[in-house]
Amino acid sequence: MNDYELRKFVAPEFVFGYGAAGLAGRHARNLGASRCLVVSDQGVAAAGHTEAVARTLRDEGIACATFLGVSENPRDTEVMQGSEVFRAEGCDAIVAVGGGSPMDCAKGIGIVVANGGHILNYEGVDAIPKPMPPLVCVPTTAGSSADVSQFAIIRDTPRRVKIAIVSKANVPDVALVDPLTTLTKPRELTAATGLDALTHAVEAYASNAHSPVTDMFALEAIRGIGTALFDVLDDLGSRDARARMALGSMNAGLAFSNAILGAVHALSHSLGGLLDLPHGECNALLLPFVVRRNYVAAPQRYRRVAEALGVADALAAPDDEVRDALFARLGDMRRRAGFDKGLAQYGVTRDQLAELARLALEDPCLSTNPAPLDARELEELYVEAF
Amino acid sequence: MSKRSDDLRAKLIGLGQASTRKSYYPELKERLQQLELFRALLESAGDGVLLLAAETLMVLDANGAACRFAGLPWEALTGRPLAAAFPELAGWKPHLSGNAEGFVPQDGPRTSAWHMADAAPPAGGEERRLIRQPSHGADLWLELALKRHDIGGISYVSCIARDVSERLRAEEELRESERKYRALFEAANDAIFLIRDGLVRDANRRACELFGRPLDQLTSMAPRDLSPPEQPRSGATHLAEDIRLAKALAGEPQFFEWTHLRADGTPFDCEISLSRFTLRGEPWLIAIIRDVTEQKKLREIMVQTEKMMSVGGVAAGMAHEINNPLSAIAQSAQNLQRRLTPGVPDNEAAALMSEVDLERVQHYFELRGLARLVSNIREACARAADIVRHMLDFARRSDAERAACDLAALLDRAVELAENDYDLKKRHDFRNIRIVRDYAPGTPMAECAPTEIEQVLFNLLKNASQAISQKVYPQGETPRITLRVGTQYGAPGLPGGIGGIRGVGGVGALCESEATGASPACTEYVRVQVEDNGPGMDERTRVRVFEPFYTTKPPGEGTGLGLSVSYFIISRNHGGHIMVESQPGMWCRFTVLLPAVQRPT
Repeated sequence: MNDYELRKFVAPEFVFGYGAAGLAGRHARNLGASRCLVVSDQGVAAAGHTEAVARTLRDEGIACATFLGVSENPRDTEVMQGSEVFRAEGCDAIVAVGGGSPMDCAKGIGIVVANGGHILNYEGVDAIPKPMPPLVCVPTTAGSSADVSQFAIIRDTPRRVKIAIVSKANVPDVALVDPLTTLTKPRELTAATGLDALTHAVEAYASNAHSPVTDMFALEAIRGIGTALFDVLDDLGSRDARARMALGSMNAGLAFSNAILGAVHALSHSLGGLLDLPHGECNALLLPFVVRRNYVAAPQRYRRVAEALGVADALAAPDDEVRDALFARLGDMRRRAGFDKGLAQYGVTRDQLAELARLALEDPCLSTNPAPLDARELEELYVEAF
Repeated sequence: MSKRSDDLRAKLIGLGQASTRKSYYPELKERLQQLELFRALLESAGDGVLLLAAETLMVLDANGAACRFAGLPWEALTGRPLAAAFPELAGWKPHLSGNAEGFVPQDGPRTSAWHMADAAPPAGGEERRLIRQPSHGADLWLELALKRHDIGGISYVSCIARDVSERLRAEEELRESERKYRALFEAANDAIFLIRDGLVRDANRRACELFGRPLDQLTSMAPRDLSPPEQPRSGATHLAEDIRLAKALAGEPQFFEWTHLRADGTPFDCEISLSRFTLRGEPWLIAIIRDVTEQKKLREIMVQTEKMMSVGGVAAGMAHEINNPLSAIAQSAQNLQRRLTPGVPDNEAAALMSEVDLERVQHYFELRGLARLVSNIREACARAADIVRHMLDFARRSDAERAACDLAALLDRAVELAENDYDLKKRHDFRNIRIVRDYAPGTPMAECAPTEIEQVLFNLLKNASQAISQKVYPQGETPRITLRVGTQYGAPGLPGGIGGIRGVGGVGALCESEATGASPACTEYVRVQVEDNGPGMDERTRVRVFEPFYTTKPPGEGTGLGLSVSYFIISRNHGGHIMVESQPGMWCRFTVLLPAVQRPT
């Protein structure tokens, strides 16, 4: 593999900075919206972000209908309900306000209203025939980066799996990344989303589909998150730390949306689907084990990751030392962020691991994992994280 | 930095009001709205609109009206051939130029995203077709208009289906109404003209008959062209016509008498009713022309009948009154003669008592011619009595025996009588008159009193021979009497009558037409005609010829009662008709009609 294989880089038009959320109305109008479905969730709405964005829409003469029926790990049923609201209200555009859940749900709604049928019909890669109505994303979590990615992860409730819908059509028209919207995030959520963003960056950098451009975003993301996360956790009200975190998350998003992810996400999606476990925390738990397992397949990549995270002598030390140091570093970060549970403590049982591994094997993210892994190896990783 | 450069910088770095990456979405939305609007327009259209694939005529799309016409929901209609919608079109292909037969598809449809609307001229022509479409209620009549369109490199055919049932129905009703009025128009027994701008534009069949001209000749003629230059009552024809037409056009219906001309130039009298009506905003006149020639003749006959009846009554009354003094005179004359006759005891006794010699008295009478005078009185009385007897006949119904008679045989017997009649033989040279017989075979018998009819026929023959004797025949023409016997249906003076109305009688039967003469409403008559080629008679004579004592002969020759008696025998005693026609100088024809004996049907 060389660095100059064919690569595409897809990104939305985005605005980053303080007050970016206030531009929602203007952009929606420029995209031709006259009546928007604002997709958000109860927490975000309670924090006032939903109404703030809706106000900018109304200021532009755009009518709003609000859909707040989104849970963590958004469900197919919620997508279908949202698309009903979209149709019933006669909407012509979608504005998502919130974290990964409202944004993925908003993408799902867009897919269904443009293509008809059920959201689960569009599982897979490049399986969306028609583009969706204009979608403006206003992220408030600095973690999922759904606002810049081509991913939408929806929970298939009957099968209890998370399906990945990956398509360039999922890239929003505009992302408005406003660090100020993340100020209201509670500590635990800040930690979980921060670690999620870090996982994105690490997996994107180690991905077998990485490219010079994605590497740039990925490494910068790892470096930024490595310091910003703990600055934020030390001072949740620091605008500067929040902004650095938001930037890191966005960089990670731009990287992984194009370089794609790896085994951490495959395993994590499986957990989220079957057991509805929180995505960010699962990623944080699994990341060290997957990195340790993958290390041998891309040692130079992981050395860079270690270096970016401040592991001493990461470029010169022997591989096993760097691998262990990185493993330890990632574990430390997780614990420092406040998470120390194993899978068992999340309620997972031993007998579920084989099934979880089988489901993970199906996840598209596994195809870009630097090391090819089979079901047994995936199960071993669950065992390690148990 | 100035405000302006701030704005410029904002725009440059993508933070201007309109600094959003361009999207086709707004434009598409607008187009979609236009399409929806267009769709709504199509849906609201009363005409059915279908979009078809050019090659297969497969229905690609259809609006609500099209689905309704086809009786299929949209889902069932689309994707099926046009014939599924309109069964009458099974196996049919429109001939749109450059259409399916000549159309060779390229390698797959050539689509051009930026097809310019004005770049390609519309291909193909248009085809129209009227079809009958089965429907739940009455069948529909649909007018289809198919047109070919090439859009984005693909050929389509649009099909507009218009429900023309209402229109066709209205047209049919109009045609029916037209037929109805045409039938009324043509069936009218009066001539009818439709006149516009002073010219006849239409005329019915009766008009053609009455004027003796075909329709194409009548139309475009003015009423004045069909009239003599002068009207008997109203002067110059063209002036009178102008006044009548103008008044009628002014909305004042006109009713007047008029004289028209047939094609052969013979005039006929008519009554005209002229009134205005409006057709497509233009003033028209309708002229109803009734030929009153027959009515006039009938009127004349009725007048004559009245006259005959009253004269007959007066004559009979007079005869009765004259009879008594006449018999007294005859009686007295006879007694006078008898009482002068010698050898009668009472005469002898009276002479003895008067001491007069009866022989000498008689001698005196002889010398003074008194006996001849008395004889003259008696002869005159006999003659007067004869006249009186005839006159009484007018009033007396015959009690002679009735029988079914062969009129041809009776006619021959009358000819025989005439041949042997002294007067006719000696004075009128009857034997030199050629008798021509024209007896139609199969003529039925007539119920009559043969002696009376024989007398009538004899009278007619006598009349004819007397007339012939008045004429000096030019070289090459010889005296001739033509005798005809035949059948006639219907009474004169009523529809179906033949040969004019010259007689009278209690005729009540109505005949629909000559052709349907078998109709029980028609009386069947045996017709006998006696026609001479004598001098004929003028109209003045003709109308009086049946009057008692009317005669053209010198005094002493005939009583003037023969035809009167004949008239009463035929019309009153037999319920028949007798009439006379003549062409002065040429001929005179008497016609006798007697009811035929009913033939078994």
